[in-house]
Amino acid sequence: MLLVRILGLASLLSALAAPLCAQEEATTEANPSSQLGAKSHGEAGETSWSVRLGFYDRDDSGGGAGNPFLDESLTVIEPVFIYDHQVSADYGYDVKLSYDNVSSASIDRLSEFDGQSGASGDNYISLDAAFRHKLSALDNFSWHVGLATEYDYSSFGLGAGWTRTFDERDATLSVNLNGFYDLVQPIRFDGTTGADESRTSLAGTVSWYQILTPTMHGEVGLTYSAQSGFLETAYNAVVVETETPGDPPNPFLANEANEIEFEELPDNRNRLSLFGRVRQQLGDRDAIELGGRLYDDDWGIGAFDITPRYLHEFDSGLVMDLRYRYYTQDAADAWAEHFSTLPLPAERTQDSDLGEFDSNLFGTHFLWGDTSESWDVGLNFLDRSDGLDHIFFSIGWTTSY
Amino acid sequence: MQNKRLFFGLALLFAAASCNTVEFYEKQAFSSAVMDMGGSQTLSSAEQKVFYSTEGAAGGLGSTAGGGCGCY
Repeated sequence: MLLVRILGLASLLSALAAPLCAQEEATTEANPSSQLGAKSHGEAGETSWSVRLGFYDRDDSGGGAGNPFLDESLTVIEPVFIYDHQVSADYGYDVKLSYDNVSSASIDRLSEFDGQSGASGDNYISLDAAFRHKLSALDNFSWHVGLATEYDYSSFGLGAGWTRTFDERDATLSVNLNGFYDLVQPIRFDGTTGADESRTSLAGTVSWYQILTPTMHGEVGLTYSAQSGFLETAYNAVVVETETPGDPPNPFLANEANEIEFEELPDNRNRLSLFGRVRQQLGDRDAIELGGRLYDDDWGIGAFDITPRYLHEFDSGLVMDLRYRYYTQDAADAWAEHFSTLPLPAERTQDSDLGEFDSNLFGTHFLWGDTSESWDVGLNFLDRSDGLDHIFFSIGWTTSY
Repeated sequence: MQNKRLFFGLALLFAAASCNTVEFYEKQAFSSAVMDMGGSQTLSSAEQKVFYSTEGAAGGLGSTAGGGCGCY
């Protein structure tokens, strides 16, 4: 099945790029407007402020969707502030501060303890500073350092990126490396705690941006990441439904299950993601884009998504971006919706995000403004096959001077 | 193995395309707002955060694929 999807995506991208024809070579400046490359340099002294407010709400249909033993309803409000300053023609930086206020359903169906991370309320704060350096007319280098913290969790991140523009080929090559060192205080579903655990994540992305024709451009890339350490979600649990005769039912469980165990997952994870997208202009004010991604990891999850988009610019300058995204994934080897026999497997999870599902996302986004001030507002609705639907609303404002 | 074939296939496709340059006077289309593939960095990272926090997959456009948590 995955092979069919891979071939389908390859055929689609090939068909879109097929109209290429031989042209005379000329030294021209590429347009590296990729999301992956280092941010381009503006005028010296240029400063901008950006503010974004995100609102995420997940519906669990009263506990009936996703994991049958948890109410996974969730609301996240996330304001983000970014200050960006171009110090000189060759050097600039930005500072990003973000905060997540997370409120979720209590998991008292598993235990009366309701104080663990994410169970009823959580605050996440992160601060990231990024610096960009123009090394030459064709080379840019950037690096960033960041910190994030919750009351039972902290993370230190470091990353760097390099881009090389190939003028004579209308192309840009980008290479990014990122590393995170996370510390987790395990607070289990029943309130028990353990010694601090650590997690290390390293991720590298290589991408290639290319102008394909006078009205088409695109990019392809690969992300590989390796994680090691404590990869479980500390408060996740596995419910055993087998009833042993004579055992009293657990009064905290809706189905009178008789045992709950911690989630256990491998200590290492290797993940590979291949992605690409192509955008074609149609007339003066319209464009279509087709993007896709293939994903595979050694936990047994294979995933695929494809995203067609349509963009239109109105006479007023308002840009409308309509998007559909189809996503599907296989379940992790350790995942099961129900566990009914003992002993439990050494690796086990009922985390619905590691299960098999597909989803359909319908998104709309509007942008307007000029070089000194701009606004955008967007709304995504996601319909997930296991019932964990969500909406994501976002509004952003940027001013530059 | 299949993923590697796809990646190398797409890389070859783009590499082949790179043999053909577009003249500078033919590039006005790329200054159009609807052709800006960069978009808003904050919006992209916010959307990617939703995806990698709620899906088994991670990595790709605007995502670093691991670490930093903010899990929900």
